[in-house]
Order: sequence, then structure tokens, then C-alpha cells
Amino acid sequence: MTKPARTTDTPLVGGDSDRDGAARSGGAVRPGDAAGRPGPEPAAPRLAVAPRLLARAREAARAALPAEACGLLLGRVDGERTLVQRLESTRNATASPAEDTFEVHPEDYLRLDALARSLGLDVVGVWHSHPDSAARPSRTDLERAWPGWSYLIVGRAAHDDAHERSWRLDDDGRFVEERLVTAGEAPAPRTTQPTILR
Amino acid sequence: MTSATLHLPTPLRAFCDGHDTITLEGATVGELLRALEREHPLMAGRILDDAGQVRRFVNVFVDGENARAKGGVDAGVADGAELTIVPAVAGGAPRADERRA
Repeated sequence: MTKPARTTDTPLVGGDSDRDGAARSGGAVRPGDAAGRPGPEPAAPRLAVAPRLLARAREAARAALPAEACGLLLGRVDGERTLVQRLESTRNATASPAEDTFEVHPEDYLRLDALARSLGLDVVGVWHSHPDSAARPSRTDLERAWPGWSYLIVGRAAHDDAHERSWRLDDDGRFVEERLVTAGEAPAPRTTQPTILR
Repeated sequence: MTSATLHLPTPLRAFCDGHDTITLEGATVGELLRALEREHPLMAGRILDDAGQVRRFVNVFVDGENARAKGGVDAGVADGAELTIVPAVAGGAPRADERRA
């Protein structure tokens, strides 16, 4: 598998961004320097997505109204950073009302999984829309979530204040927000703590 | 002996020493999945349930066809076949009671 290009990230919503590879220790104890000064914060998970891909998700979410839209994220994981290189839509195969549920059609998953492998990528996450509610995972999202994937949500897709946030399960099975960043620009300082849904 | 290649999704790789692809011996879907559990014990219960059937939220495709329509764990597997483990990917917006909470 090809090693991803090294880039810097810029936050898209709230949160912060760190220089790629600057703090990848990931441990519970912050590293320090020889003088005892604390080192950088451990890297927090973040999802790097090009703005054009987010725009595509928002467009697909609007096109699917009043149903939820859904799809897969193809890309690479490099430590705590997940780089999305393709955002693909899939059929919503839910047997429940599609206004508030989604299920990626398994045949579409199969097709995109094969596409990802042919490109040297992986399925690294899932995206879906909430037509009327915010981009926070629901109880259903939590019950059906898999560890190790990013869950990108287009919130309020039917409204003028549509927005995107991304989440992933932590070791305790809770959704933790991951910073949504775009690759290739200078990072901004951290301004907020990540949200953990209990 | 029949052998087949299994493609594993990212969420299950942590239980298979990080492998994304594993080649195993077995003539049916069930034999291959049990071989996977023997080789990687942490996989036990993640694809097959206690009754030895494929779990509800997992699909197994054999050369592009869903094994559920071919006999499930009893579906035959040709030598050199490719099996893809497909996790059910689902969720949805908060229900009305959740939004009020």
C-alpha cells in the first residue's frame, strides 16, 4: 500500500489541528522535554476531507430528501489521522422508514470495498445524513456502529444550517467527536476540547 | 484441499493481527469461518453466532454472491474463491423521543 503524502490539516469545524506527525505518541502521559516542560498534547483522532467531498455529501443529502442519504468513505489511516480520498454514495437499503434510518446496501459495500482495494485504499468510514436533526450520533447510530471507522454525519440536511461533524467509537464504546480537517493548509491552534457522548 | 481467500473489513482486523486478507482451507463458508476462528481465536463470535450461523449484522459474499442465498454456512466454496466479510452498516437520525430528551 502506498504511503500517504505528508500534509498539514486545517480544522473545518471547532476543534483544533496539529501538524501531521507532530504528536503521535497517543499515550495517556504527555511527553516532556529535558527541562521538564510539557510536550505537545497527544494527537487526537481527526478526519481529513477535501471540501469538495463534503460538498458532495451535502448535495447527495439534499437530493435524497426526505430520506436519509448514506455512503462510504474510502481512504487511508495514518496513526490518528484518517485521510478520506473518495466519498461515495450508496443505496439506502433500510427496511424501516428511510426518513430516519439508513442501511448501506451490502452489494454497494461489496463494490466499493473492491474499488478501495484496487486503488490501494480501505473503507475507512461511513457517512450519512440527518435531514432535520444536528450532526450528532443517535441511539441507533451508536447501536449499529463498528469500531475503527469514522462516522461522518451531515446534520440538518434539509435546512439552511446544514453542517458536518465526524465521530468514532472509543475503547469504551462511546462516540467521541473527531476533528474534521482539510488537508494541505496551515493548522490553527486548539480552541476546544473534544466532545464525548455518554 | 480447497482453499479460499477471505477479505476482512477494517473493524475486524484488530482481531486478526491486523490482516486485511487471509487464505484458509475449507470447502464451505462454515468450514472457512471456523478455520478463521481457530487461527485467530479473538474472532470467535464476531462473524459466527453461538449456533454456528452467520450473525445478523454480517454478510458473507462468495465471489460476489451473498452466501445467505446459497445456503449460508453450508454454501460450497470453490478452490481459489474469494470471500468478503461485509458488516451491516446502518444507523439513523434521532427518534422523536430522543430529540425531546
